[in-house]
Amino acid sequence: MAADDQPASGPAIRFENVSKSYGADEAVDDLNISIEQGELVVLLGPSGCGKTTTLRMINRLVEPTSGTIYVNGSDVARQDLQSLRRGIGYVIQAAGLFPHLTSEQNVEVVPKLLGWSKAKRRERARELLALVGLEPNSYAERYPRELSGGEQQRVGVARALAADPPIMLMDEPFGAVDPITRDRLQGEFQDLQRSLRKTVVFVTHDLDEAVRLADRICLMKDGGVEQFAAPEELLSRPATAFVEKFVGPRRAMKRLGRLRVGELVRPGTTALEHAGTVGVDVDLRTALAELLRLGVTTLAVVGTGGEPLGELRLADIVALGDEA
Amino acid sequence: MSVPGRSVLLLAAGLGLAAQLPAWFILKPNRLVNGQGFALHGLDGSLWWLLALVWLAAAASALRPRLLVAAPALAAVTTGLTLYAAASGSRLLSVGQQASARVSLGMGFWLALVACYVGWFAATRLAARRSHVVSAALLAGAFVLYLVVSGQLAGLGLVRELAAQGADFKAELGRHLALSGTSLLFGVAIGLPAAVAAHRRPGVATWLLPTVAFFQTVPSLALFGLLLPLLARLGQGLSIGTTLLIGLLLLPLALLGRARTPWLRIPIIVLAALPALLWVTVLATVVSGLLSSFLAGSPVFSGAPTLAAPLGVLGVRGIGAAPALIALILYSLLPIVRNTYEGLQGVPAAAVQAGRGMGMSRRQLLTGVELPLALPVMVAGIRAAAVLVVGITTVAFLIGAGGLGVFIQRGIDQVVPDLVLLGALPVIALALLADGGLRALGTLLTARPLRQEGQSGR
Repeated sequence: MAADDQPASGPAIRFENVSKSYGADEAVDDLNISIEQGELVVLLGPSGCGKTTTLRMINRLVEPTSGTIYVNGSDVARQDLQSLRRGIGYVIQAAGLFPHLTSEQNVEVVPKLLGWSKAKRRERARELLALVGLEPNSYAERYPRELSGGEQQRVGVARALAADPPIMLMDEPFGAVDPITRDRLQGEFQDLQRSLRKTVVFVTHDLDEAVRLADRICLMKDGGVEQFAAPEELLSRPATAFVEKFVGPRRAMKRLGRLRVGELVRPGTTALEHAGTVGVDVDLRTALAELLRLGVTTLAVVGTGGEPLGELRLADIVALGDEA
Repeated sequence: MSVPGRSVLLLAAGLGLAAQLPAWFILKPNRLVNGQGFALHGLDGSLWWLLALVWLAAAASALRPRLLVAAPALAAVTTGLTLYAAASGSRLLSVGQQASARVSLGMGFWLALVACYVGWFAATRLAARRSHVVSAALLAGAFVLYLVVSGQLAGLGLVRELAAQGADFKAELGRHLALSGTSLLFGVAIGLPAAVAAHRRPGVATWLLPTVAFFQTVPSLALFGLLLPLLARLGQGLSIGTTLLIGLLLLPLALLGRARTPWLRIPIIVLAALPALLWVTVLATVVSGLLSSFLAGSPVFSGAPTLAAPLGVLGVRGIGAAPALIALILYSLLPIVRNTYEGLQGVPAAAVQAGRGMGMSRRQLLTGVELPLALPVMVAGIRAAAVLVVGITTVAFLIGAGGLGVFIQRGIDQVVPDLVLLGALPVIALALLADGGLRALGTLLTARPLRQEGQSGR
């Protein structure tokens, strides 16, 4: 198939006039979006907005009623179903691990379908378990029921990465774990994504999760797109009344969570003049909390090595709110 | 776990001790008249004390958690002693009696045997390791085998009847095994694909499950009566050659059925159903005939199976194995189909969705995910079918198919309880063996994390 051989330029995934209806019910209505190579796009919205349907149409777990979906330039409807799916990583809520297989065997599923040798599969599985933070020697032989929810989800991510697919589909992957574990998984996944640069389509109904992880957020409602933009823009310039209501009154705070101290640091002063210090990598929401805790209007900003970089002023943070 | 093993062990000990009181043996001047009962302590006092002490030890260990691991050893010792007591008591009683005198086993012995069975049941729950139960059972089995082979039980009426029936017993046991084994084999071969089809298509499930449930409601005698004239005609009227031809016609029909033409599917299924039933009957009869000639030494064919010969030559007749096999296969379908279907339906939806999303084909999903996960429930169904089939085969003699029911009938006709037992005891033993064997096989095939659920699943 010549289409598969096209260089990885242009959008990784493109929806062209895609609709999906169940009887009279329009789940997805004339969707037109493009997802770039290496981009993490979050499909966000209330339940029933069509985000999961949109995701599942990419690997054809759901077939669109009309329209075309292109993956790397070729129409998915014309591709072999099994090889299309084997080439796309898939993570679902509660991991969906096979309970009768060990973590290692679970990770080996797609490589096995692709006919890799046993030695290569095993090596890859152990490498991936280590990558998601599970020590292979103690985790490889464990069955899903012997793992915590968070560990299961890590195995789920490792399984999706096994055959090194350029595209990953993640359907509320961290939805079934407790908030503390979710926070840690999100952080680890962020680090992982920074180094792997996969094209990721990520479904969630959690605004905080979307704001934290997304390069761009596609906010959906009733099968249509309300706004498709970077998180900062979605928070600062809601396109519709629905977006404004969805992101809520605390959107300014959420936006601060996306921004780093480094963006507002003013050069000059030394640490001695300030009641406290804050790292340049810290997000502004945390920095604001620190300002309020100490009851001061400025903090000294230090670099990752502790070297003084300047100061952070409360007024600058407040001024950000005007832009919103 | 609903019942803790300790209380089961305590129950066994209670039964065992209670069994020490009633008569263990009944001495009769000949096999027909009523006899006189003898308790064990009157015959062999030291053995009586020994048995009582072991049962007391079982009761004591049930009350002491530390001693619970001894349960398999206790089960083995009580079983061995109980049978040894039967041998020793019957030998003592028959001394100086006339050749026509019979020693039957009484209430006390049977109660003790039940206690032993309950004891084994407790042992499987309490043993620290499975291997302990297995080795204890092997030891006890070897000892019982020694008692039988060395002729220590020869004084018992039951064994005397066995000796008198001799070759007959071997033949009927072989037929019983052939009938039950063949029906179970065909039940699985038909039931599993049927259950998979029902799982995949809700439309199939809506008629298949009630249908197999309906089969079970038809009394076996009525089924024999209905099948008799039908099979008698088939056996005489249809030649082997014609049957082969009909079979050849099935192939293109099956291929057509695979075609994706929904409106053709139903007429094809209806068209294929009758010849398929015919073929199942013929194949099952031949397989059972071959098995029973191997096990029982009975002839396979009642003539030369040429193309022109009628089906009756192969054994497809109004009386004999054919109607029994049809009935048994139909009865075995319900537990097999229902459990396999339920097992498949119970597979976590997330696992199936993940499998599909990762690019597994339907077949890969079935063999790699669905069947392995459904296996414990499936095996429970096959076990239930095995026990059912072994039991129902007992009435197959009514239609001339033979089997162990023959001795039960003979015993009733001649009013010889020992002869009834000669038919009934092996049926019980076969059912227990089939159940245990299939359970072990199922556990072996089941992935480790799924095993515990499978054992209590029933």
